[in-house]
Amino acid sequence: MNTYKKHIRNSFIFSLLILVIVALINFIIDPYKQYGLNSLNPYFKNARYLNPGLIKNYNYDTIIVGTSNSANFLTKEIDKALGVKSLKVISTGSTAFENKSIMSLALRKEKVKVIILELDPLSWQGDKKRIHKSMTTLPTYLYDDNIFNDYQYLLNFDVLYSENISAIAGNFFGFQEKNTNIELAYYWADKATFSEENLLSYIKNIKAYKSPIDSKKISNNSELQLLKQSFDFNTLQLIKDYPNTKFIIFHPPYSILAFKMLEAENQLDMYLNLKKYIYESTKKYENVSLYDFQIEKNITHDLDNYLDDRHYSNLINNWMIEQIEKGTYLVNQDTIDIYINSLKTQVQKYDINMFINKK
Amino acid sequence: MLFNSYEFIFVFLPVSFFIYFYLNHKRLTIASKGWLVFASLFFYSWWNIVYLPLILVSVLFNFSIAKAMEGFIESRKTFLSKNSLLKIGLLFNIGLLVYFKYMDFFISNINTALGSDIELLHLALPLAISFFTLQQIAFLIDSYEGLAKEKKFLDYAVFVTFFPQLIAGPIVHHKEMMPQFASVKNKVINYKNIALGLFIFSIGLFKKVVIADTFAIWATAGFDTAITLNLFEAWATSISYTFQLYFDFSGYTDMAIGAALLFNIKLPINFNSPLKATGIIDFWQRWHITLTRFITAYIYTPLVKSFNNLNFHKAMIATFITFLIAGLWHGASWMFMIFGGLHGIALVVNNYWKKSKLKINKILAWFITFNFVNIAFIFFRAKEWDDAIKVLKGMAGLEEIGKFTFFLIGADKYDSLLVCFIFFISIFIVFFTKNSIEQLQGYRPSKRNQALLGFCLSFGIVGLSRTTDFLYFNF
Repeated sequence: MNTYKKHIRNSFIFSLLILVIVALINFIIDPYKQYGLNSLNPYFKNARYLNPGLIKNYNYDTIIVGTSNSANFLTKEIDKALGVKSLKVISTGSTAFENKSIMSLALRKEKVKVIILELDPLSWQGDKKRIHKSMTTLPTYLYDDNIFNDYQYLLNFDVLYSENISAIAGNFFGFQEKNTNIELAYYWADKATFSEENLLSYIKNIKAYKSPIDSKKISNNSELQLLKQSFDFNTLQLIKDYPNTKFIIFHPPYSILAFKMLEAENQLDMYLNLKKYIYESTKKYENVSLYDFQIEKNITHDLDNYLDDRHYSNLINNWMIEQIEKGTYLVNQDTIDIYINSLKTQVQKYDINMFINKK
Repeated sequence: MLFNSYEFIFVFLPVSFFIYFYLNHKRLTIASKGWLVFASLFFYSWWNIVYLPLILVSVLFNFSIAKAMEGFIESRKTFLSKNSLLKIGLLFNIGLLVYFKYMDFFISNINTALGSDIELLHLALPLAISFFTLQQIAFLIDSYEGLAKEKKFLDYAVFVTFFPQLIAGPIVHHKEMMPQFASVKNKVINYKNIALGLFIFSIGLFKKVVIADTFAIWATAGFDTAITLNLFEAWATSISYTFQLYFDFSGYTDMAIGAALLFNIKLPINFNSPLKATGIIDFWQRWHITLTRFITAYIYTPLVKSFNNLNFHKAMIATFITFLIAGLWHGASWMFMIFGGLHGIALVVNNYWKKSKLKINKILAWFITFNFVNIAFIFFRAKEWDDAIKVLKGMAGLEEIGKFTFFLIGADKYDSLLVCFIFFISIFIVFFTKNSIEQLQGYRPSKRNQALLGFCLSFGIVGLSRTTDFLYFNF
């Protein structure tokens, strides 16, 4: 045989050999828990990659879906309060479509009885299939059951290197043990300080914010339409399609400053309309309980609860679980208008200068 | 379609290769050329089919102009001189580039200057337009001067669209390509060329997806994410980017050269260890060589010719202007202008230095050159003036010297360890080994090359899939 032909053939064989070894290593360590063949704890970092594996191979009857604001829920608290076996599958800055992707997978797997979903207004913004701006695509090969596209996982450079090392270092050498502890999955409250001080810069932003143009009011209507469409497509549709799954959905208690900012941006009414729409469109489904924690002044006006205008402390997560257990702050025909009007009044009445003067 | 994608490596490249040589084997040479053009246009359209008509019109128009110029002498048509034909051709190509690439830049500058509110066009930049336009401008000028002649449209279409060089060069000359496509010898499968092609393709793939994409972790962290950078972070950011750009672009060129070699076509060298350069003149003879060749022949030379009583100082002015234009060619923003301007000034300084016949230690010369190149690339990378200043301020030590936070961003530390590892490997590769082109000269089907090819190819394939998730553990 031609020496170059042989050279090419041998090079190919060698590279195939390496590929097989790489795939085997990734398959055995399986840091994204796609195959569930080992008992290594995963390393809770790349949520959008890891969550589908957790859904496929872990035991649970309840899942928690949302953004970083839901990362500080402790599953054992939820389990104790609601008598369930819960699994946290949040991802930082998750969009509605990303939430839908993970919920759909869980619903297809038929293990989930309860979904606790955080209602983040930002998640429905933009295109209804929008994914987070840091992602080029959602790794759909992890969200399906097709083994033929798993090559993107098994022959993945970052899985081979950083994910495998993270998993092994966390499991065997105790590096950042916390990050391989499923009780604490994605938990960050221990790294943050919650205090009024943090919010000073937000006050300046609100004060400096010049409500842009009147045209904003006109565009508000079409913007609201888009938000509603995304809500219908990504959230409501699942509620309709899975009547036997209970959806506990809640409006998270952002600080009053977050709503002040919305007011400054001329977006507060739009948001309140969206909240009204969420209630109206879900009220006829018996598998939904909607909670609204945004009217609790003791929480939202006490700025020591916050890291920034939107991120509250782990204590607030615990508080919310207690409320869900007790069934307080439930939105129903009697409370919907009270809740919406009360939030609006609170925002109007809150004087940011008071906060500044106090300092 | 990108070279570093599954669809290119596992479907497009093998299919286009086998059909091309099958048709040639059946002596259907026209069909094989037609196939190559079709495959190349498919490759182009994969990205966005909307711009397929654009490249077709461009190819057709330029060919017609060249034909008209050629026919001019024979038929002695009078209504358009050969010179005006050339001008029309140039105007068309430059007009296309200006409209698609620079219009919004001009409009936004006019808006800023005059306080007007003209709406931007928001056109998506057609893929490869900067490259196929330059290539055809060169062809028109060569035709005008009688240096290039093309009879058949199909041959011309192969010349422009040949997919290995279509998207990001090397920028090729008609006269170096056409004899290769015409040669009968090249229409037969050549195992040596395939081995060489696969070798350099694999090296390029590895450079792009393993090395450059790893450096991108720090470059992105520094340029896009960080609000301020301290001394160490700023240097790590800028050097990471210089290495990223070099490995990315030269890796992409290696892949182009490799893909072309499978078809028995030798593309010109585009990079020759530029980071080893000991002067800015030297640098541009090693970095993006085919661009330097183009701007020298088609911008600098005509400019110099247009001066009366040319002297050294005037030539230096021409050099500076040429590099301003070259800077802007890289992209429609002031940052690229600054990049071009800085290099223009450095070239002028380098030329005067050379003329003065002063001597300088080689290592010192390299050190100055590398640092200049590194700093100029900050403007190449920065999207805004503020980003560039942020990095420069850090490098100058004007920010508080604090911790090296690239290691501290939560679980990113393993990525940062990888960057460090790749850093050391790269320094070794860049400064102490033969570059990929030098490796090709005297290539033997040895065990060592077999191992290197297999290693780079397999890890290049593994590198096609990486995970990108954003983290902010800083709250």
